[in-house]
Amino acid sequence: MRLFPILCAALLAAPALQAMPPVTESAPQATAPIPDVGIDTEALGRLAVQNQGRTKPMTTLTGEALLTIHGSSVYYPNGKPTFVQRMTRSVPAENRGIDADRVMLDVWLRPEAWQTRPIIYLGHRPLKEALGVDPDRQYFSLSEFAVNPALQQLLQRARMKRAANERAELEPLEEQALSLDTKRITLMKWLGGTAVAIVPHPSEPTGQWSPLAGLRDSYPPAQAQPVFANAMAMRDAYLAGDGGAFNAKLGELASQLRGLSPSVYPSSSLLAAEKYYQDFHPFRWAWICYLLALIVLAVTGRWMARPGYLAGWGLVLTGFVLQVVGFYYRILISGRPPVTNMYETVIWVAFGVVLFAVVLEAIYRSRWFLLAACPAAVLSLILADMQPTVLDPSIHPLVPVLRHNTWLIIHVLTIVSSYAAFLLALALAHIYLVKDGWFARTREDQRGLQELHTFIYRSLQIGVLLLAAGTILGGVWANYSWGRFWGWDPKETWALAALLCYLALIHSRLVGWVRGYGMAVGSVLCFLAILMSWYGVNFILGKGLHSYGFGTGGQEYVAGFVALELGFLGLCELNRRRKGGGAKGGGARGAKRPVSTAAGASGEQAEVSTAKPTSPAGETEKVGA
Amino acid sequence: MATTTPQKPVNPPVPKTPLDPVERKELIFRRRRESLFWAAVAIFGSVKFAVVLLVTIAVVVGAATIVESVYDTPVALYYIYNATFFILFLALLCVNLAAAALSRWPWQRKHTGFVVTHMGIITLLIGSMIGMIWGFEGYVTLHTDGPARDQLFAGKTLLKVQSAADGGIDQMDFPVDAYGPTPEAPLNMELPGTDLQLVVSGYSEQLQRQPVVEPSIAPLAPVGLDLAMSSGMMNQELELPFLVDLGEVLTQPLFTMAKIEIHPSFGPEEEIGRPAPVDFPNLPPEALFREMHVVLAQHADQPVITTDLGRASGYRFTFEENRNDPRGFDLIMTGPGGAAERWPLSDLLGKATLAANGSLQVVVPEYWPDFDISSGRPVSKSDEPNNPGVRIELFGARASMEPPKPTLQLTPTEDRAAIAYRLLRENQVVGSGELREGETLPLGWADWQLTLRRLLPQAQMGSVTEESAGALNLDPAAGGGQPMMRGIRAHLAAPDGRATEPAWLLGGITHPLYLDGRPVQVWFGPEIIPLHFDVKLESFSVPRDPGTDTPADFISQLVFTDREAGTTARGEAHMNTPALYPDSFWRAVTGQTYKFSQAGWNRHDLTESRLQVLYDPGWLLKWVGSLGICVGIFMLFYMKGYGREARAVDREAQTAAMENKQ
Repeated sequence: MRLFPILCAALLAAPALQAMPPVTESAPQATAPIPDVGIDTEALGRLAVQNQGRTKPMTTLTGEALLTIHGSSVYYPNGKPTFVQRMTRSVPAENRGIDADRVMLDVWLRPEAWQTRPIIYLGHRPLKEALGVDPDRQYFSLSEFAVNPALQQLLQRARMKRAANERAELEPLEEQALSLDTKRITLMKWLGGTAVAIVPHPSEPTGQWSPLAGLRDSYPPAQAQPVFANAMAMRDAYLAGDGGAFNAKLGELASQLRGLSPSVYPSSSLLAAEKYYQDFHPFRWAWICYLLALIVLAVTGRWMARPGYLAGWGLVLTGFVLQVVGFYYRILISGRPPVTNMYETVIWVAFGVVLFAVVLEAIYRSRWFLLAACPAAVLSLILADMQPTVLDPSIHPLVPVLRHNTWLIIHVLTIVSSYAAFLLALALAHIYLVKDGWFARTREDQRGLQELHTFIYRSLQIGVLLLAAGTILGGVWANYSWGRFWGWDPKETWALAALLCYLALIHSRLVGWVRGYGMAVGSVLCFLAILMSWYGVNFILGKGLHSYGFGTGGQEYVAGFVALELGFLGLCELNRRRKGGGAKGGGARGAKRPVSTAAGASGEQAEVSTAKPTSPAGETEKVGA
Repeated sequence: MATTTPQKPVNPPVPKTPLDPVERKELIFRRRRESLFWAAVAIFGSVKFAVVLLVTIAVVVGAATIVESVYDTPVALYYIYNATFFILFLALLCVNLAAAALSRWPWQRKHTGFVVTHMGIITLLIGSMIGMIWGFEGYVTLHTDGPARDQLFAGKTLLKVQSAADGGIDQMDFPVDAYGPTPEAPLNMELPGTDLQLVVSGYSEQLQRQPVVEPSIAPLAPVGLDLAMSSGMMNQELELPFLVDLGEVLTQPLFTMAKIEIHPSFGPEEEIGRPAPVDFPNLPPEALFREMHVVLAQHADQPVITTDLGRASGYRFTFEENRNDPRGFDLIMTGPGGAAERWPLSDLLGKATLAANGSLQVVVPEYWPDFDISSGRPVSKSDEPNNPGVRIELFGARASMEPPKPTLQLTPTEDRAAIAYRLLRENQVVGSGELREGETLPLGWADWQLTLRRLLPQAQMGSVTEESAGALNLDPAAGGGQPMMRGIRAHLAAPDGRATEPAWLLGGITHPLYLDGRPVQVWFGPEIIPLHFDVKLESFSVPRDPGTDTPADFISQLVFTDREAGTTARGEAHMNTPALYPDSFWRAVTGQTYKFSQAGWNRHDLTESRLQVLYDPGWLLKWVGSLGICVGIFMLFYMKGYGREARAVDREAQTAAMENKQ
C-alpha cells in the first residue's frame, strides 16, 4: 500500500515532535552535569578517526570540534571563572572548565542532553539582534536555532549567492550566519554520530571511513558484530558512569577497529606522535624558555654578565630545540613544510628570528641579537598560542596547488624566513631607537649604536636575499602551476612592494641619506609593508590567486601593532627634535659628505670602525647633543 | 678635482690593463664631466634616482592592490599595471639599472656581485618584455566528450569592425571589465573611410535572448499574439509572446494563482471544466493520485474512502441491479459535477477501465457477494449476494483534481482581427468579449490586467536580446536559469545626427548594422589565438581527499595533433605540472613550447577542464635573470672580493686618493 509508509512516518513523527524541547526565551540551563568517568586519553588517542580528509587521533578531533562549535578548547558550562578566582586559585567546582575530550565524548555518547545545552558560540551582536536572540549572551543551544526563520532566510540568501558565484561577496550578516551554521552542523553531526567516522575503509587507504552505524555495511556480520557489541558495551559503561569498564572497552574498541583493516589504519606510532605533539605543547614551552632568556639577558647586562650571557644562550638554545621538536612533529603528521597557514607562518617566523639571531650572535657575540630575538619570538608564539580561532593550529590537507613540497620549501619557506629576518631587524631597530633616544650619553654608547646599526644591516641583508629569491622563485612556480610568471596578484605585488621598500632603504644608506637612526626607522616602516604582504593581503584585501590563505579576524591586533609602532616612531622623532640633534629629520638626511665617499657609509665601514677606538665623522653627528 | 680640459677626446679609450682603483675613479669622474653621454649615464644610474624610482613603484603597486580590492582585478590591470605610465616606470627602472652598471665601467672583480644582480634584473625584465611581445597567455576549455580545439581565448576583449567603405577590418582593445561604457560615457570608434562612428554605450554580462513574435510572410503562418500582463500592486510586467497552435491548447500559468489558455477556437461552454484525458502510460507515478473506496450496496451512502490526495476526489459509487450481468449489478460512478457513468460490475472486476472522458482509471480488485468481517479481514460469508460489497480503486492525474484556478481563455476571431476572451471562475464563465490591438482588459485577479500589444495575422517566433533584470533570476517563467551572455549596446552615428537604434549585440557573433544602406559588420568578443595543432581532452579526473569531496588534484590527459605533419603526442597536465607541447628538452628550456597548466574545473560537470596555455619565448631569459639576481645578491652580501669587504677596503683607498688630490 502506498499510504502505509506515510502513515508510519506520521505515527513516528508525532512523538518526536512532542519530544522536541520548547523554544525558550531565556538561557536554558544545563540539564545535568557532565559526568567525569576519568577518560583514559591515551586509549582515546589510539582511536583513529577520519575527518576533513585526514585520519587523526580522536583526541585531535575532539579539540578541533569543540573549538569550532564553542570557539574555545575548554567548555565552561556555568560561565568562566573570574580573573581573581583564577589568580587566587579559588575557582568554584561548578565554574571549572571541562576539556574537549570529556565534552565531545559526552556529546557523542549521550546526545540527547546536548540539544539544550548552551554550547554554540555566537559573538556577532548584529546577527544576534537579527535572529531575535538575547544579544547579551555568548553561548546558545542547538534547540534555540531549530526554528528560526530569520536564520533560514539569511542562510538561503547566502547560499543562493554562493550557488550563483562561488566567490560571491557576502554581507557580514550572511557571512556570520554561514559561520553559525557550520557550528550547528558540526554539533548535529556529532549528535547523530556521523562526525565520528572511526570505522576504517575495508581496503582503500584513501577510501571513506564510516561511523559506527555503518559498521555492518562495510564488514561481514562475523567481523562487525563483536566490534559493534563492544562499542555498545562501551557506551553503556559510559552512561552508567563506570570509568574502569569504559576505558577497558575503549581500548578494546581501538584495537578491534585496527584489526578490521590493518593496512588502512594509521600506524600506532603516528597516532601516538600526534597525541604526544598535542599534549606536549612544544611551542608553548619554547616561548617560556625565550621569555626566561630575555629576563636573564636583560638583568645581567652589568651584573654577572658572563654567567648571565651563558645562561641566556642556554635558554635560547633550549627554546630553539623545543621549536625544532615541534616542527619535527608537525612535519611528521602533515608530511609537508610547516608554512601553509597563518598559524604555521607565525611560529615559523618566531623560529626564523631565533635562528638568524643565534647565527649572528655566534659571529658577533654582542648579546643584542638574543635580546632582540627573544621578545619578537615570545610575542609571535604567544599570539599563536592564544588566538586559536584566528590562527588555527589544526592540521588540514592542503589545496591541490600547494601540494608540492619542493616548491613550498623554495618559495614559501624562503619568503616566510625573510619575514623573520626583517622582524629581527625590527626588533634590533627598537633597541637602537630606545638606546639612541634615551640612553646614548657616552662615546661608548655611540660605539654601541654603530654596532647595532651594523646588526640591523646584517639582518636586512638576510631578509633582502631571502625575499628577493623567494619572490622571484614564486614567479617560477607560478609559471608552472598557474601558467604565467608574473600576474600582479596582490600577494606577489605586495612581496615586491616590500622588497622595493627595503631595497630603497639599503640604497639610501649607500648614498648616505640614512644612517643608523634612519636605518632603524626605515626597518620599522618597511616592516609595515611586510605586514601588509603577510597579513593584509589575506585578511584585509582578500583578492587574488593566493585565496587559499584568506581568513578573517585579528584586525584589531594588527591595527594596534601598527598604531603602536607609528606612535613609537613619533615619540622617538619628537625626543630627537627636542634634543636638537637630528633637527633635519633624524640624521637620515643629515650632513652632506663628498660625493666620492657618499657610497661609503656602509655597514662594512661601520664594522671596520668598531674595531677602531674612534668613529668616522659621519657617524658621530649627534655626539654632544 | 678637474684636472682635464674639454679638448680631450670625449670617449676615453678603454684601458687594456686593469686600472688601479684611484686611476679608475679618476677616469670615471673625468668622462662624466666631458661627455654628455656619460653625464646622462651618471644621472640615470645614480643611486638617488634609483631610490626615488623604487619608492615610487612601491607606492604605485601598493595603491594598485587597494584599487583591485575595492574595484576589481581588471580595473587595476587596466588603469595601473598595464597602463602606459606604469610601463614607463618599469622602463625607467631598466634604464636606471643599465646606467648604474655602465657608470661603473670598467668593472673590476669587486663589482661581480653588483653587475650580476643588476644585469640579472635587466635580463629578467627583457625576458618579460619578449614574453609580452612574442609570447601569449590564453586559456581553453575542453570537454572529454567534446571536440578537439585549435584555438585559444586570450584574456583580452576585442572590438572588430568591418566597414563597407574599404572592406578592411579595424580592431581595437576593448577592456570591457575595466571600462564599462555607459550612455553618458560611451566609447566611440571612428570607421575609417567613412564619416560614421560606432558608438558603444553599454556592456552587460547578463544578456538573454527573449522570444518575441514577428510578422511572417508565410500565408499559412499562425496568428501571433504579443501580450503584456501587468500589475501595479506587484510592480510587475510580464511579456507573453504566443503563436496560436492550431492543434492544442497552450497554457501559461500566472505564478500559482491563475492561468491563461490560448485556444485554437472556443468549444461550447458546457465543456468548460470537463477533465482532460490523461495519458496514463506516460504519466510518472508521482503525478498520479490513488483513491480506494470500499462500498457496500446497502450502505452506498457511507463508503470508506482512503486517498493520497489532500481531500477526496468527490467521485461516488452506487449499486443498481442488472439482471444481465453475471454478478447481477451495475456500478454507477457520479462525478463531483453530477455527471454519471455506468458499467456492469463484471466489466470492472480486475480490469482497469477508462472513465470520465479518459481522465480516470477505475478498477474493482475485490468483490464480496456476502460481505462480512472475520478476524479483522473482509470475507464473503457465502456466494449469495446478500450483502454485496466492492473495493474500488481510482487512479487519475493529481493535477486534474486541483480546484480550478481563475482562467483567462483566448482565441483569435475568425477574421484574425481581434481576439475573443472568456474569463472563468470555478469553471463558470464570468466575463467574455473581444479585445483589439492596444486594448487593455482588467482581469479581476488582484489588479492584474492584460494588454494586447500586437496581433499579427501571420506570425513567427523570433528573439531579441535584452538585459536581464537581476543576477539572481531563478524564475523560469521570466527567463531564469537560461545562460547569461555578454554583449555590448551599440549603434552607428553620422555627423548630421542620424543614427541607428541602439541594440544589444551578443559577443562572439558578427552583427551587421545598416545606416543609409551601408552595412557595417561589428564583432565583439575575446581575442582568439589560433594554434597550429589540435588539442583534445582524452580524460579528466579529480582525485579527492580521503573521505571528502575536496579535490586533491586535477589531472587532464591531453592529446596533441599536428595538423600538417599528422603526428600526435600525449601529455598530462596536473596541478604544479603542466603538459608541454612540443616537449623536447631544448624547447622546454628555451620556452619554445606551449605549456598547458591546469587552471580550472567545473564541479557540476566533470567532463570539463580549463587549461591555461602559455607560450613564452622569454622563458630562458627570465630563468637566467632570476638566477642572476639571487646569486648576485648573495655575492654582494657574502662573498669576499666579489662584492663584500673588498669594496670597503678600496673605497677607503679611493677616499684617501681623492682627499690627497683636493
